Amino acid sequence: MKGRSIRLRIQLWHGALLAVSVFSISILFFLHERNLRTERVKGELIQATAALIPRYYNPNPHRPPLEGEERPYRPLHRRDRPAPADGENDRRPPPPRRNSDGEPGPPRPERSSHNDRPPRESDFRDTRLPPPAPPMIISEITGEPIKRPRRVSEILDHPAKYFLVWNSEAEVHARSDNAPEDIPYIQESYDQPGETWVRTRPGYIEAINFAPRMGTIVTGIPVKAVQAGLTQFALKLFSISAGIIGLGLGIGWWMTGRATRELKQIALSSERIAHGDLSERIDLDFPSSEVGALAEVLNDSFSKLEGSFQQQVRFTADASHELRTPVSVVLTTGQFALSKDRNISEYKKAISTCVDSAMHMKKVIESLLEIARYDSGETALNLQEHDLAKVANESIELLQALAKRKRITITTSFEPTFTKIDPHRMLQVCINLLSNAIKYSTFGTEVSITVREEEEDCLLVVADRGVGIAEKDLPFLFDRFFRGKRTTGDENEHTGLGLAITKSIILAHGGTIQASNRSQGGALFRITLPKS
Amino acid sequence: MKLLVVEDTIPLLETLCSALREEGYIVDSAANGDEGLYLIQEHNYDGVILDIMLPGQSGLDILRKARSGKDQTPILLLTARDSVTDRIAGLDLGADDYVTKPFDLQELLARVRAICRRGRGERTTVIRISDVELDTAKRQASRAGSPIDLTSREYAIIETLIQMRGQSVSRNYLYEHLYSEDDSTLSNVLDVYICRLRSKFGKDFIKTQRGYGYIVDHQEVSV
Repeated sequence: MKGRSIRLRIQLWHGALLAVSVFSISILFFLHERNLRTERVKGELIQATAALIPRYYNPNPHRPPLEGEERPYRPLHRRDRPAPADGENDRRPPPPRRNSDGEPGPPRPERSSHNDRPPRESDFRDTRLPPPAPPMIISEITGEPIKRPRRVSEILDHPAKYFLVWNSEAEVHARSDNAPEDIPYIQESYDQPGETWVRTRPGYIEAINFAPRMGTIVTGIPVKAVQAGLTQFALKLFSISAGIIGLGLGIGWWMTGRATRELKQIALSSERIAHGDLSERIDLDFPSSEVGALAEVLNDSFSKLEGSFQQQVRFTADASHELRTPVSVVLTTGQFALSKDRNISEYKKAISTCVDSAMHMKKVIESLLEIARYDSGETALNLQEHDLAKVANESIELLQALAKRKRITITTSFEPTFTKIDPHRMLQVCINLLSNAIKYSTFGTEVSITVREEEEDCLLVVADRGVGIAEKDLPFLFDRFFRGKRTTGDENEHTGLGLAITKSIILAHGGTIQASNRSQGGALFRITLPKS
Repeated sequence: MKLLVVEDTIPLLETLCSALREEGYIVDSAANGDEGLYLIQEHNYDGVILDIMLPGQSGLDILRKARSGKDQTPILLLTARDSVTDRIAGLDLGADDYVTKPFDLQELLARVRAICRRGRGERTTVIRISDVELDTAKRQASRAGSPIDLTSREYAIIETLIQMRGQSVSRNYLYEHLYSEDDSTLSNVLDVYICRLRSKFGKDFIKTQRGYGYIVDHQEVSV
């Protein structure tokens, strides 16, 4: 297989394009998803932080909440016992108070000082304010309030999430087990104090809530945890992409296979035809329009090739056939003459017969070569501006004797018609047509020649009142070696190539020639030549 | 024996006729199909050499018409058309042989002899009757081993009589087959020839049938 495969090229380009598209989309999708997840994680951390706030910032029940603010918070007190990390021990009584001497101090107020249970009505016995409503935590995602979780494990829903609480003195007040050791302390807000904000530090995403004089709550998640999920997602995405690409390539391969299969069929058929059977044609089962058109064009070419090949074969057969007769004359005459001793005059006669036949063969060969040369364009015509009527007149003069013998009258209708012709060869044409007309004319009739200029071209017409041309012979009249049924007895003179040569000459001039029968009997030959 | 040659190439026609005449045949000729058909239908020939590509009727048309008219004349097609299909067509139409041009003259003459022989139902070229031997290929007669000198005309007559041995051969038949239209015949010319032949072959060899013709007895000596 010579050259680069179209199929392979289409496949590579198509595959590359598909891969680029699919992978770009996948990457975009991946990045989008990563953003989404990160934002979600951040949102969750903020939520978690918000959920932790009531646990670790003691709210001041006396101060009504400001508009837009969640309950005001009391600062974290040192003496507040830190809530157990797992929030299990709601009911463990707090250790008894001790005053600075270490003696048992006054009993703890019954007001709850730990945040791991919702304030009870009993907490607010001393006040006359209605118990404040528990702060509502609105889910950032659904927009609906979330029930206050009871356990930290519910707040931090992911095992990798952690939290850490500093009090206002930057001491770790509470933390989850998995909190990293190296969280840097923050005591600043992003925007407003008491607002939760998110920071990313290498390896961690953290939500921070700094309440001045109260403390800082941090919830966070190692980036790796987020990434883990993303990695899985990326792998899924990659395998789907690869699948799509694979499928695309597969389908592409199959489809190009169909097209190239047709082309291969054409190539095979053409090879077969060229090497052997010219009558075969390309036959595609379900041709596509493009390849089908190609096959049609090729089939046409093959038909033309077959036609001209057959013409050649016919011609060769005709030519060798035409030479058979003169050859057999020579052979038989020679053999007869030599079969016994004869007298001089017999030998002379035999030799002269042989010579005549050889001359005939010579004419046939020369005429054939002449036609071949005209047809192949090898012979250059000697075109000059010349009067066609003069040429026709000349031919009449040359054939006067022949016409007289059959008492044929030649009538002429000549107008000076100047155009580019080869005078010598046009003379040949005129002689051929005129002599045919005379030969096939009935005794004593008229042959007419007309030469004039018409609108589009120049006209030459030779007509006789002879026996005409048989209808079935008309299409073959100008064929080589074609002879009508009737001959006039001069077989040796008549090569059957006269009209073929005439036609070749006319065609070489760029003209046309037609033969027809006249309505009242006789034949008519009409030649047109281009005007110069 | 009388032959007809129908051929439109004049030099060839003339040479063929000369060659056949030199062989001792009487030869009629025609250069176009119509004339050829006419002659075949009008006369009885011992053989016809027929070209196919003729002006007027083609050789095949003539062949067809002759055969459909139950004409049994042996016909040899002589033509430039040499394809196998042409040969088959010609032979199937009823030709006895098919020779293509160019041809070897001697071969053609031998084939002509063959079709004429077959026309007579004869398969052998040498016929023996008592001590007379006739070699139709060599166109010689001999008696008791020694060759007999015969003119062409004499050979033609004795050949006819011997080939039709056992049958009476009418004088008319002899005239028809042994004289061309151009010969002016006097009825007793034949008698002269018969007399000469009797002197060469023996008095009883040729018997006369009064008012009808002659006969050579059918006494074959098997070879």
